[in-house]
Amino acid sequence: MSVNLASIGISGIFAAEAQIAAVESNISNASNPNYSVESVNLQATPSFNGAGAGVQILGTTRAEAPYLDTQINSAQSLESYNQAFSQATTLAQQILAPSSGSDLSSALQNMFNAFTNLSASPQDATVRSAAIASLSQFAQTDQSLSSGLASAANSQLLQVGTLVTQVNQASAQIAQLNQHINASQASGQSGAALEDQRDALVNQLAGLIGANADASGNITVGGVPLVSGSSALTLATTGSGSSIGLEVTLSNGALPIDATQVGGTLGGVLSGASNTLQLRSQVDDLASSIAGAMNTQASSGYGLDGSTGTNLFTVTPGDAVSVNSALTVQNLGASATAAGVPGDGSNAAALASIASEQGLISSIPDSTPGEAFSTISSNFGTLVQNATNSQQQSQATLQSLTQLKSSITGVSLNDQLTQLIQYQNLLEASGRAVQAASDITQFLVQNVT
Amino acid sequence: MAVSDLSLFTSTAFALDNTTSNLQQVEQEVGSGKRVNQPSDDPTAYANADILSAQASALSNDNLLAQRVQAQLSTADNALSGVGTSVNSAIAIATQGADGSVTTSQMASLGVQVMALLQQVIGAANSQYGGSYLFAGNQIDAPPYDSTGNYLGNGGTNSVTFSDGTKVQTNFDGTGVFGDSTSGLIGTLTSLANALNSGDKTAVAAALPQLQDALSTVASARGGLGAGMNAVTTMTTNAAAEGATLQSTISNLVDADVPQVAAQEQQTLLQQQALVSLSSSLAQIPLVNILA
Repeated sequence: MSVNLASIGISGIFAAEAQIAAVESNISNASNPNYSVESVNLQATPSFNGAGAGVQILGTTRAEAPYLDTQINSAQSLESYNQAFSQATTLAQQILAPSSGSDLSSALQNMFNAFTNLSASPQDATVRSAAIASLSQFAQTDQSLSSGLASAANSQLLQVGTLVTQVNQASAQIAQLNQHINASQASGQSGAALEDQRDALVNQLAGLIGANADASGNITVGGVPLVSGSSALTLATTGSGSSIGLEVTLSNGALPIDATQVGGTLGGVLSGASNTLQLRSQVDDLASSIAGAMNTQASSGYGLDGSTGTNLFTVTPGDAVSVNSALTVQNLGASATAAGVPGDGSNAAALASIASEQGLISSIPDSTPGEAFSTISSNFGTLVQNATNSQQQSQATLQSLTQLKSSITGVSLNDQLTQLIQYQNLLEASGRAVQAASDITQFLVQNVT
Repeated sequence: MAVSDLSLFTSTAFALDNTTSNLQQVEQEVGSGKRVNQPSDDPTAYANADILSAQASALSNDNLLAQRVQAQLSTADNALSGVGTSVNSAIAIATQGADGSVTTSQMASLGVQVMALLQQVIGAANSQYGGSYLFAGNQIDAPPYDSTGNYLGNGGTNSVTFSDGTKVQTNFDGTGVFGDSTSGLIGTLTSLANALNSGDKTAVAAALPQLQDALSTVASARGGLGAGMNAVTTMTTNAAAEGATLQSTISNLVDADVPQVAAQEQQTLLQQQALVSLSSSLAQIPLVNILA
């Protein structure tokens, strides 16, 4: 029987060195959020005579939590979506209900107040001018609101191009990493660092567009592939403005991506812009309905100059209202009587009474114009409130999942320092074993000879 | 479960972010004194406050308009008060002129006095407020009576409707109160003056009941004006009370409960300080220190 005592000890030294190296790598990456803690896999060296033969290093492996990775990517997609959506709708809300309080609601009430005053003094040029000024204020508030919301939506949609570029860059990097990881695995080398990089990029893609990944790094969005093995497909935009869409370019054509399936920042931006444009449409519809009703009433009245049929507003479907450029102090139809009777303010009173007319806006029946605007504000406020709450919840969920994963794959300095002491002891003990083997050999050489 | 050092820092930073965000929200409430600054703070409260603010704005406008209407009606009432005095004077003159002892020259002298009263009445009938003639129907941009008492206005009227539905007439058909050169008070005064000038005592006596009727008409018109002014006063009183209730309701909906918010701010500040303290202590990893 022959036992190589020194080689057993040396294998222990190698094992301890490898473990200390892993610990040092772990400690140096303790603040790297994309790093997974690594450990050395050991195996007892097989012997054929029943005695110990040392230890073998099988390799270095990284801690993994594949189920949590999937959950985290899903939570990241939701959190990024909610954040982008919340930002977009909060901005739209600030335009809808500015903190100065000069919103459409007050402009609307000022207008009806002005026509009540006009009904009392229909001949008074100052009161007639004030009524026209109130029409201008209402129209300008609507125009400002409408253009502000359109501008906000356009600004949001301008981000889409940048986000698509980022998606394509991440996809290309993942495809490249897939190739390198496969090559490493084929050659028996550790691909831990590459897998860390890929996990981080997959998480980035989840946050950008709500992409899903499998264990091999294949990426899909809404069932449409973005990365297949070492090949990355190109994401592109279609259309523009409110009709913007996404598609993946294939060699034989293009595959559209269902916008409702797009998550992450991109999904939140698209949805936020869509809701902002819907809000603009609701506000314009409301203003147009009010302006239309006032035009009908005003055009049936008579001005001081005896003219009739003069509209107060110019109404363009799908756009903000504006004051009729032909409207003057003289032809404003405050009177319901022909021949321009100056003291008849009954048509002005009828115009003021539109304030309490219900059902002008078909989408919000049983509501006066003021109540309809309050309903629009309230509904959008609920949307923003829900978005903010969802964002906070998804952020907390993501934080919780990330922390859970970190307990598996993150670096605990306490653990690592304890292990370091253990491996230092192991190294020292192995060294002593080699020393013992050397002493035995020396003793045998001296005494046998 | 192992706790990675990175997660210790990130979870503390996450909690600190949340606390700072809460603190920002609370400080916004304290700064503005409002719990609801935008629709998303409380959509229902925001919408209700918006509707109530519109009502408050209408009430505020009603109050301003009511002052103008009151002044207009008061001007009309003062004019009619003077007319009542003139009619009573005319009755006294007619009574004197119808007396058998009055000479023709004395009657002519009385006729001159009646003509002066007629001009006073026509002057009252041409009363205006804010540039509009009050007894011209709604032909309010020109004097409704010429110097001989011909009516140049029309039979229209104008009214103001306040937001609570109170409707008050503000312009009147002059013929209903003063008549014209051939009827009513002005017609009677014209006839009386003519009768006095021509020494026709029978005609003078005949004018007396007509003057009494005219006095009743003026009193009735004043009664109508009084009712209008009372309606405006009642509306104004109710609007003041309703306005106060609206402001109180709006305040309950959107204003911050300052003591509660201040307490919340203190609590959040303490929480933030504790987290900052924790963050700084995390920098000293116990085992590293022990091993050192």
